[in-house]
Amino acid sequence: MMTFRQLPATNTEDHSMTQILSATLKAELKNSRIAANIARSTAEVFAEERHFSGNVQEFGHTFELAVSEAFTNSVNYRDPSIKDITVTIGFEEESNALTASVTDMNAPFNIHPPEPEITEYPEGGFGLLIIWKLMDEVSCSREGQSNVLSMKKFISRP
Amino acid sequence: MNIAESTINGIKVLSLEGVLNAASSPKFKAYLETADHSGPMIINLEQVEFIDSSGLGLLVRLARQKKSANEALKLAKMNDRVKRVFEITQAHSLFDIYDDIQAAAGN
Repeated sequence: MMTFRQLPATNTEDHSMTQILSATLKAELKNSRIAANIARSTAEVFAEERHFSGNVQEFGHTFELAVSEAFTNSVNYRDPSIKDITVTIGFEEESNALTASVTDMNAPFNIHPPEPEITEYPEGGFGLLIIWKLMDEVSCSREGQSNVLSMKKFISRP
Repeated sequence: MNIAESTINGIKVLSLEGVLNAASSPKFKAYLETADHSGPMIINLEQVEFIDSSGLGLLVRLARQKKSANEALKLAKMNDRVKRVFEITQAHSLFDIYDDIQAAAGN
């Protein structure tokens, strides 16, 4: 089941670069591919509307990949007794940046794991590494029983 | 994800198509484990539209197996989206990467 809740647009005369301009979008999802595709589409539309001077498709791929990795982490590290997991993805727009958030009900986790040593041919450990490499800011907060992983990418620096 | 197998110059070519992520990687892993894939191999990634860390980890695992067996594993025809994942993780350093199949096969 997929539900969307769009919050009212912010209407303000303050045009500071960090001002949240439009909306927050949230969706509860069970399929990582749907989450990743929503992330890509959202990012591409965001970049186009902001007249992003860089590669819009690459900006979309950045969010597609990061959300896919975060979603997979949520599934892989869920309570083993839980078979059917729901992950909430959200997006927050600012004038010069887009933030994707991925929320799950898992135990807290370390967002700074050691990087895999590539010369040892590691099979795992790439997920968070990819997120850190792609994004400008990554943070994780604990809200009640939930982890909220936030991933921000700027289209221009303030 | 679809997997097609062919041979060029006596080298096995696995052509992957679609998404190589956490959901589809088990299919590719099972394919690799249920048949004899000894000998040099080329992975054709031209039709892979998306790869994430799960797919990458599986290819790294295959690279390690081939290295242990002293057999060649070559990747060919990566698009920019796939190439990006290999580059940001440095995994590209573990593979011989070619722009086309003929070059990978040594023609």
